[in-house]
Amino acid sequence: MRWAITLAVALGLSAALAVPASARADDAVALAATAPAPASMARHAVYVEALGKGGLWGLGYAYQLRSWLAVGGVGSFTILDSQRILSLSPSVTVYPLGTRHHRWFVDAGPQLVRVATPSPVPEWTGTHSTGVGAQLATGYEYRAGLLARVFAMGVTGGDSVAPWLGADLGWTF
Amino acid sequence: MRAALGLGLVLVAGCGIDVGAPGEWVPASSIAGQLAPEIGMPARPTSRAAPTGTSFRIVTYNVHLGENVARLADEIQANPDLAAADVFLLQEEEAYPGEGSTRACRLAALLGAGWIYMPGRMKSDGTHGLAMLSRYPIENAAMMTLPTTDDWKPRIAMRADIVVGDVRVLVVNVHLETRINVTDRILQIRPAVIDLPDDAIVAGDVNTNPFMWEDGEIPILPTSQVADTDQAPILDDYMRAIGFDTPVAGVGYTHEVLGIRSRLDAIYVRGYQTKVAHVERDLDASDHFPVWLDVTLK
Repeated sequence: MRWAITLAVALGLSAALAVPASARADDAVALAATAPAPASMARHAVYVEALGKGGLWGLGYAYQLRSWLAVGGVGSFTILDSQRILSLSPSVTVYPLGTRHHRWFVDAGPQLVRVATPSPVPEWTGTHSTGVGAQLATGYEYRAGLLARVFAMGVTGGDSVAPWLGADLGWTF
Repeated sequence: MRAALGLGLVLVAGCGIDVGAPGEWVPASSIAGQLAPEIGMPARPTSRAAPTGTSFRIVTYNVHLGENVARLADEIQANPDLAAADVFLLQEEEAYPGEGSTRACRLAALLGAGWIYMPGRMKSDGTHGLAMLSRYPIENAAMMTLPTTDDWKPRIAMRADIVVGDVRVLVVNVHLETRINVTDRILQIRPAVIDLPDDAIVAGDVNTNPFMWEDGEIPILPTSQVADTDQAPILDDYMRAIGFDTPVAGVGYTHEVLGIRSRLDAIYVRGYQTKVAHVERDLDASDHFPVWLDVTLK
């Protein structure tokens, strides 16, 4: 697991840092707040998320409505020592600042999490828990066919906020 | 896209323990060598018999190595509720040859109690383990090695009879692994509790933290924020399933670090009526707070 997280974070960082000069040349136009998504802009994104909204990992999809606005979500299913974690995190993403390929994003939305704890022993029946919370994430996105993001986020279930990190790696089309 | 799907849709992690054979209690008298237990009777043993309805106060306290024995004793004696306790189940006690005597022995002397110190593992030139201090005689002490993995520290449970006049109270002291998930926690405590007689008290640092863990290293914070992953009520639920009452379930946190409050310590009772339970948070000799419970003898 650790290698997978490390790999995902490293890929995200390297994609973010190793941007070719030609890509920068395309970034002359900053995002306009009211601009629709350019026809040349890939509207769909599919990505794998390390850590992030699912806790350990997730599979995400995003649809670009405008150049500054996207909607999407991340789903995750993890089994830890027989406990099963299912999480669904729909979200809205805005891009307050950036160029065509390099953007700062802010992402927010609810989270639904269900944890099932099957009994490992015959004398107990197990238990489960379901909760609804909210998450707010912000970070850097590189988008040029390849999608890479690194971000920090906070998750709350009501009483407090837990800090967390995440990294996405995927494709736009 | 295909590569992403190739990673799989489910992440499965964890390498815990399985339900194994029931644990074996090894009499303290048969344990020799560096991990041999040390047993001492109280200098002035309480000899009163226990008429039906007598209250018996039991304390569980992780003393966090118990290095400053005098301070520990002072804090206990300065707290009237703890000073009145009959039995202390201590976790994270240690002993080193250079100190002349075990820390449990010195603490017991200061509190006027008898003691048994049961090492669970070596630590540098000393030992680390559990202790039981009692104003009443301690008999039939035994130790059980709890299931573990290569990544966890060796853990033990100890049991003994506290002899209160004509009454014998079976008490079990446990200290479970720290950063494990609750299913492994149940599997770790199970051998020590599954075959106990009907009347028994189980207590200790069960390390029921509020998180789920990936490989014992990463607490899954987002999940714990949204869903209830607190291990304490889940372990309580397991103990209730095997007939134990959970009288300290409502006492609140027994440990606080970085603002995270956890009920890491517990007392489970089967076959006895229980009365008051409380956490003493005015002590700061340890990173845990002691929990006490009054049990009615029969």
